[in-house]
Order: sequence, then structure tokens, then C-alpha cells
Amino acid sequence: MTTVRRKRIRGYLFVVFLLGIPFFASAQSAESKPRKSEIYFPQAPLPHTWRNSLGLVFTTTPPELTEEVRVSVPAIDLNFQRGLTKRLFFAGRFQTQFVQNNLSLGLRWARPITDRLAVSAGYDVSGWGGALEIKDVFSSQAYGLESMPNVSVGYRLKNDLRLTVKSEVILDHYYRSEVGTLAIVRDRLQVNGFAFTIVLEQPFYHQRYVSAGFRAAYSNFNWQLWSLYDTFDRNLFYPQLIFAFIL
Amino acid sequence: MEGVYVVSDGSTQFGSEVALKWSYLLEGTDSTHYLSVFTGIDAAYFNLEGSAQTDSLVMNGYWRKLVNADIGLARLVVQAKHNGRLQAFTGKLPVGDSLVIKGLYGAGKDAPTQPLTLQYARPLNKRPFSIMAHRSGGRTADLLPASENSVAIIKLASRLGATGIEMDVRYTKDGVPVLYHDNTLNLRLIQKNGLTGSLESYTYKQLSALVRLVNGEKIPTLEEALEAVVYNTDLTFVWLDTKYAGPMEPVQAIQQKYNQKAKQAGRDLTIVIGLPTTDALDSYKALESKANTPILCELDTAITRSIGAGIWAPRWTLGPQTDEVLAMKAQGRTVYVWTLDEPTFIEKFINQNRFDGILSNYSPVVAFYHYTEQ
Amino acid sequence: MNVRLPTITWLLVLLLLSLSASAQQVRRARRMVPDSIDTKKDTRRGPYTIVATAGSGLSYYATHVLIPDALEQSHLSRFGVPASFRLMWYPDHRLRIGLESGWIPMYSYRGQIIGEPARVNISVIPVLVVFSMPLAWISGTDRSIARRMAVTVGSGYYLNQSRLRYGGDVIGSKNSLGWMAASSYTQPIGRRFRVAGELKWYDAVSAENAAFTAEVQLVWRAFSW
Repeated sequence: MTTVRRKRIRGYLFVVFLLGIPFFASAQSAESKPRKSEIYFPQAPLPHTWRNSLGLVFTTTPPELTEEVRVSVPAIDLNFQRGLTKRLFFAGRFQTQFVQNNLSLGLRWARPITDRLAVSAGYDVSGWGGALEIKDVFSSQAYGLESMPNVSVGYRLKNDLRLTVKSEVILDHYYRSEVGTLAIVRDRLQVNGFAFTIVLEQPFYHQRYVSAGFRAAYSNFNWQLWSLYDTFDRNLFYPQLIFAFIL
Repeated sequence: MEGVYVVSDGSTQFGSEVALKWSYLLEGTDSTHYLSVFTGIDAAYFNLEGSAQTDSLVMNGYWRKLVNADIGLARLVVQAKHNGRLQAFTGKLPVGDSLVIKGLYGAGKDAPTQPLTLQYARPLNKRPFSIMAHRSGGRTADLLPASENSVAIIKLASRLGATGIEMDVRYTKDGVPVLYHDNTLNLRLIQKNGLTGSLESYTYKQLSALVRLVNGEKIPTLEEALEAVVYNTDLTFVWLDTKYAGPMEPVQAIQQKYNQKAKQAGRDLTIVIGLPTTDALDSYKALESKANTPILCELDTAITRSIGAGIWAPRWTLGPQTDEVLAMKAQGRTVYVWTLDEPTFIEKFINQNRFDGILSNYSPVVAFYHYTEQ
Repeated sequence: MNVRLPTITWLLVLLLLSLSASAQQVRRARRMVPDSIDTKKDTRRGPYTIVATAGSGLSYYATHVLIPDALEQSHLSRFGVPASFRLMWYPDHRLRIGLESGWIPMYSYRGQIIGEPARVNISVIPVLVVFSMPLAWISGTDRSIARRMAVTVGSGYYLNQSRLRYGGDVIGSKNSLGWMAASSYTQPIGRRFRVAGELKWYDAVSAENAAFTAEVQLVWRAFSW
């Protein structure tokens, strides 16, 4: 492992440590604050308050890319949302595997339709990047920009169980890949694919809620697998399992 | 007929320029000649077979894009352009005339209806360069008509643009060297039969009776594969990738036997043993005699020098490594890069003009960028 | 990239420090409230229960099989006797989470290859994270039939095992990702014990092994508080 890589990993660990601070802080004072019970369910947080979740997302690699090695790759998954008005809220998400990261920032507008049904529409812009420096194997890095217009429909069942279905279109705006001194850039807007997510949210223990869901992405390119240099011009299936504690 | 052609009709599908190259396949005393067309878009290639008609040369076959599942039939007629007029090509081209290949291509199994016109522009780039096809010709994931590491894909490799191939060698439980890439029997490579576990835990008799590759072929022995290379193809280079752990003597003996057979058959063919890991390096070092055993080293330059490997083959993900490549070439070594499939990077590596060859799953793309380079 | 990564890192740090600070604030009553459709406030929580389940029954291999052409007088068997074990966490709400494993026979075939007998047996060992939910939200009270019915889904790894007896005995295995879906009915038979019937679909995706099972299960509510 090179010094540069070790420094990077230490840097990311530091970021993750910092990321944890607000969540633990908010967890300690949970009893004194309004209950935070949804991240995916289309309902804005209280205006000017944060609503966060911390968990893992597991992405199964498609056989076309990883061949006989089919693994479920974990990533730390942080959601941070803030109410702007009673219907409009900011939605941020940070996914990291230390050597590759994705930060997504977006706006959502949510409104109830009935006392159980709610909908939202949003637009997220996501920047991703990764770097691999491994002796005799990789001297590569890549980064890019995607955006995801999305709509969600949520239904609140009895006993605080929330069911949310979310649809996204994944648009590619920019991609840059470097190996050694060579680089290639693709900056043409194109539809990369689409994704459907189904999520259940409910209390798990005392006032702690969880999001448990499944995301099915059909896309031409997946940022988590940039280092495999997918050359297929066809959508591949990337199933994801989502599990997070709402903080 | 070989050369770089400008595409007029059909350029949206196949790009503005293509490279045409002949290859042949020998079956005993019979030979079949194929015309391949390599394009710069979507790793597309044509596989065409000529049939002489009464007054013209007609090429029939199919086209395929490796990056997706697009495929179709093609029917082209070779014509000569004389004083601005097209006329039948008689096999000889007077000075001042040029070749025009006109015809139709289609989609799927439908009869071809879309026009395709290719006009001769210039000869192919003559610079010596090895175009090596991964896994004996191509990857199963690219939906080729033959399975990777099969005798059938070896026979297809030249039509995909390859001048050489890399094949993956393992030992069966009873010590028979065979071609197989993965660590385990799995449905990516073989037809469903329920068997799991490593290939090395089965005898050749068991594999031969019960296991078929995805397109129905048997797992070939290394000897069957090299027999096909020497006596059926015009390939000039074979890279035996060491996927096994253990003694190298049986593979060395087969390598020497077929290098000798190729020489006797008047074939320009070199078979080398690839050393991808320190385990493979140890197996090589443990050989009693290293005479007549050409090797290719994938490890760093110091190791490559220390064992006297004639070929150094670093990963492409390390970048062009210009200083190292020039230093190794200055010492008389050949330098290949592997396994490079990204078309834009293939173009950049070729344009840098420093490597002696590229190993790729997309040999049609390497062929296109190499032959059209000016 | 070398310049941009640290920049992004520092932006993140600043963003998260602001998150941290805001989490510490004592929130003032606000005049604006969101369009909330969740007006319930639960105060009583629990009970929470750890539940262990063991079951067995009949399995049927329910996907395609290819018997090698070399096998003559071949015979295929798709039935077997599975065994499964599950450990679940029951919170006081619908969604339950746990782990499941077991041993599920898939299929076997036998025949002759040039006069020599050959036999192949295939089975899987699942190791799954499972989520389960009773159907009580559809209708009725806690004592309703819907309360006793549950749907369960799981995802995880399958250890696919094969045994070949032809020219020697070879046991092989390979991991495969996969999933499971089940529905069950649970009948109370005591304070801590239940009997359940469960229909399950096991699918080891990349090995293309899938079986339908019908099991009778003993359910033990091991700990509750």
C-alpha cells in the first residue's frame, strides 16, 4: 500500500468519524425531540430541522463484470435531510467505501394526498469519485457527475409501518477516467438507466426507526464498479439491499 | 483487397472508416478464406466468406457489435471503380482504378436491406504489432458464437482480428493440462450439470464425460488447443497463462513439442509461458532446464530482467509507464499490455506507439485502431 | 483529482460539523409544521422477543435441469427432505429480522456412462438475513388469522454442494448469492411454543438452483421482555 493511499484512507476514516458525531449526538437527545421516523417516506422533516440515517447498502455485482466472483459489496450509507418549508426539503446522501465515494445533494417536494398516502418529486445531483493506487496493479482514478430525477409514493400502514416506492432516472453528465498519464472524458448528457426502490420504515427498538429496502437499478454504468471499466453498451442489473437506522 | 476503406452508406452504424483484412482457416488440406471488417464503433466486426460468381466476387456473412447484442446479416459485392464508373472486379486492378465494396446489411435474421458502401482509401498500417485475443479468442460474456477457451473460439480468433491468443491453463486432478479460466465450475462457463467446486478436483475422464462449455464444446486439453493453433489457424503467437499451482514441466513439455511442430510445419508461431504471479515464477524457477522455454513476465521490471524474460507484460491500469517501457525495449524486450478493452484507451495506447501489442477481449477494436493508424 | 478530493473532503467536514452543531441545539417551538400524516404518538413499547424456529418437510426442485448427454438410462429425482433453522428478533412492530440456515436437497440424477454407473447429488446450505411480517395489518385484531399468518423474505449466501460418484468420489462446493420468500401460518400451542406450517421458495441465483419446500416448524419464543 502506498503512502498516498494510506493518507487517503486515514482521511476518509476521519470524515466517517466526523459523520458519526451528529448522529450519536442526536441519538442521545432522542427522547426530547420529535420522533424521526422516515427517510424514504415522502414527508418533509420539520422546517429547519435535520433528519438523518446511518446504515449500509449492499450492491450485488453483475456477473457480466465480475464473472464468477459475485459478491455483495457493502458501502456506508448516510442520509441527511433538512426541512426548508413545510413541503420542501433538502435531501443529501453520502455513500462511501473509502477508496470510492458518492455525495448526492437534492431537493424534494412532498405532500400528503390522504391521511395515509403521500407523494414526492425530487431532483438529486450526485458526484462520485474513486482512486486506486496499488503496486503493479492500479494507478487509476475516475470521477463523474450524475443526476437523478425521482418520484416517490408512500403509504402509511397501521402501527407506524411505512411503505415507500421510489422511481429514479439516472442521467450521466460527466465522466473522467485516468490511468497513469492518460485520461479520457465523456461529457455528453445521456440516460444511464433507471432504478426502482421499495422501502419499509418502522420502529425497531424503542423510538429507533429503521429503513429496510431493496433497490433494483438497471444501468449502463455503476459508479461503484468504475475500476472494472465496463465496456458493455447494455443495461446491467444492480440489485441493492438497504438497511439503515433513522437517527 | 485488404486496406482502410471510407464508409459512405452505413457510416452511422459502422463509423466513417473501416479496416478490411483477410484470414484463413485450414482443415486438413482444405482452406477457407474469410474477410473481416473492423470498425471503430461499438466493437463491431464483419465475418464474411467469399463466393466467386459469374462476373463478380460476392461476400456473404454476418456483422456483430461486441458491446451489445446487435447482429445482422451482410451481403457485399466487390467492384472496381474505373474512370468513375463501377464495374465487376475481375481479380486484377489496373493502375488508377480503385475498389468499391457495395452491398446490404440487415438486423437480426432479416434479409439485409440497409445499404453499405466502402471505398478503398489506403493500405493497412504495416507497423508490426501483436493483436492478442483474451481467453483464446474472446470472452463468453460478449455473446460470441463459441465459448471462451474452446477449440472453436481459437478457430474464430483470426476473424476477430487477432494475430495471437492468450489461453488459460489448469491441471485436472490427474494432471492433464486443460484450458479453463475460472477457479470453479460455474454457469458462466459451463452448461448446467449441477457439479461445483474447482476444476482441479475432477479427473479429465469426469470432465470429458460430464462437463460441456456454454456453447456445447468440451473443455479442450492444452494439446488439442495447440494442435488447432498450429494446423488450423494463421495465428503467430500463443500466451499460455499460468492459472495452475504446481509443477510447470508438463506445460513446458507441451510448449516445446508444439513450438517444434510449428517449425516443422513452416509456421511462424511462438508459444510462450506467461508468469502472472510469484507462485508461477517459483514454478518456472524450479524447472530443471529453461532452454527452449520462451516466457512472458507480468511482474515488475526487476523480476522480468532477473529471469531474462523476453517479454514484459504490465497491466494497462498502470497507465503507459513510458520510462519503464522504453527502458525494457532498449534492452531488446518486447512489451505487451493487458487486458485492455476500453476503446478510447485502446486508441490512446496505440497512438502512443510504444507497446508492441495489446491483449484484449475486443481484438476487433485493437485491429481497427492499429490498421487505420497513419 | 488530487486537488479536488481533499476539497470535497473538507466541504464534507464543514457540512457535518454544522450537522453536529444543529443536533445539539435545543429546538424552539415552531409555528410551521410539516404536512404530517403521522399523528400517532406511541408511548408504550415492547414486548420484544427472541424466537427460534426449526422445521422440516418436503422439497421439490422447481427449475430447469440438464442431465449430461453422456449419461444413459438416466433417472432424475427432484424431491428431498429439507431442514431449516431460524433465529428472529420480534420488535413490537411488524417488521421482524433474523437469520436462517439449514440444509436443502435440490436434485439428484444417476445413470450409466459406457456401462459405468454415475450419480450426482446437489444440495444447498442457505445463510440468509430474513425479514418477516405478520399480515395483521390487512384486517382484524391480534387474535385474527391474519395475525398468525406471515410473509418472510430473505437474502444472503447459499453454499451449493455437489457430490459426483463416477470414476471416483468428488465433493465440490461453491458460494452463490440468493434469496428466499415464504409464507406461514403459526398456531399457538402453549405460552412459549407454536407450531407453524411454512411454504418457501429458495433461490440460489447464480447457481440457478431453486426449490419449493413445505415445512412443519416448531417455534420457540425463547426470550421475551
